[in-house]
Amino acid sequence: MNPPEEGLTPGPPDAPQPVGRRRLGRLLAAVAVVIALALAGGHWLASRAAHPPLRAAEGTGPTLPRAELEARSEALAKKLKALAPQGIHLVIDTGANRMYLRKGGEVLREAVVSCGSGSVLRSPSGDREWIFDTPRGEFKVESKIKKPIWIKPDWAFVEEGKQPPAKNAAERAERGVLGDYALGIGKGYFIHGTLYTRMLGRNVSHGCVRVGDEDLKAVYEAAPIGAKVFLF
Amino acid sequence: MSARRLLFALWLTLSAGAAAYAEPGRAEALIRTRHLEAELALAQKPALYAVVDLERREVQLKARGVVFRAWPVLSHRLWGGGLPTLALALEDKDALFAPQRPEVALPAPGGDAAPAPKAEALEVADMPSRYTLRFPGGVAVVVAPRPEGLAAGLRAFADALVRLAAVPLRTLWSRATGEAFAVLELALDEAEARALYWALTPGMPTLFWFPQAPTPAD
Repeated sequence: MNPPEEGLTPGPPDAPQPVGRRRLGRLLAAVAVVIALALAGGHWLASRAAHPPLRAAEGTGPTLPRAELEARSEALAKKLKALAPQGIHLVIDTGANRMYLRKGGEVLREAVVSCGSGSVLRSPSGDREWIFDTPRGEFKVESKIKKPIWIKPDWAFVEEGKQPPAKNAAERAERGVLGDYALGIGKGYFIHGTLYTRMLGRNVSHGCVRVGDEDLKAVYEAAPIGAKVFLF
Repeated sequence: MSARRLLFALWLTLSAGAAAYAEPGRAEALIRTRHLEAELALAQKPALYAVVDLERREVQLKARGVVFRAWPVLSHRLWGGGLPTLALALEDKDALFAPQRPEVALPAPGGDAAPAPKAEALEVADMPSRYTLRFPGGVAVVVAPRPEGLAAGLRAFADALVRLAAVPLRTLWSRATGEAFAVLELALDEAEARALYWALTPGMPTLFWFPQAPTPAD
């Protein structure tokens, strides 16, 4: 008969567990209780903290009674409503590539357009960079041009792999590419026509808003100088 | 004036003040007034702003007080502290897969043909549908599509497990350090979540409007 190997001799089934193991068990149980209490406490605090959902106590206002506060709210709501554009204005959704000709709250015409591609052009030397985004925000119609001539900016030459000419060079002028009309909205951006009508509805422009012929004519005729243009 | 009369006048003033504060519905009216004051200040400027309007369950893009586009909120959850009634400027949009701008390929040197119109572009479909909008003061808006299908359900379950630990720990940490924070989770339709990412730009002022939960103090 072989002697049992040292350290592998099993004890009797009802032998008490070593003291170290019991302590470890108690320690783990205590840690689990602490974690559970912390999580429960944290959840309770989180549920309390979000009520009320808005921090009313910000700022220091006069201690007005409810009726006066409600009257003030009504007056503020009226002032807010009065700020809404009443006349003809344009709303352009650059993500959906849609333009809305609106008068007050009424949509008079919806057009499929092409807005900025969001792409980046870098000059071969790497010292210049252009991002073809359509700007966002509130603009207004600053100019209206019939039979516009495109004065090609530097990027148009760089994109064609050419060296940009001098600022007033005749080769910068190009006719017929912007359609029959153009509405300037500032910072060099225009709402104009396009030769690439099959790309309407896609983000392919260099930042201007390209519009189909019929919609462009309607917008040109309807929107006066000073009409607001909202781009988002 | 005698000291007794002065004390009586002081007591009357304090009582009136306390009564005004304890008036039913006053807290809600105060918040609504503050919200409208903040919106009016924004609407007077020639700029876009956003309103997270959970009374109407939508995120709105506005200018001059007019809603130009609204994205329906399917469900929402707020944890942490309350949200401010003042406008917050969007600091950043965090996404695991943030969209990358395509680069225009230049024609080969010596080529004289003008490039054909290209379709490479950054479009709404390229935007992430799961992202976090970060605002000052520890305010974050987590946007995610509503889970659909088995994989999305599993993802939602995993998120719930993470939240189970994250919410209390973050709250306790906030209490211990005194740093305010609020996390608003919004579930949107996937396409709407992408469109919202597109429309919100860093720096855009954002207002939060919640239906005010009645409290015993009201």
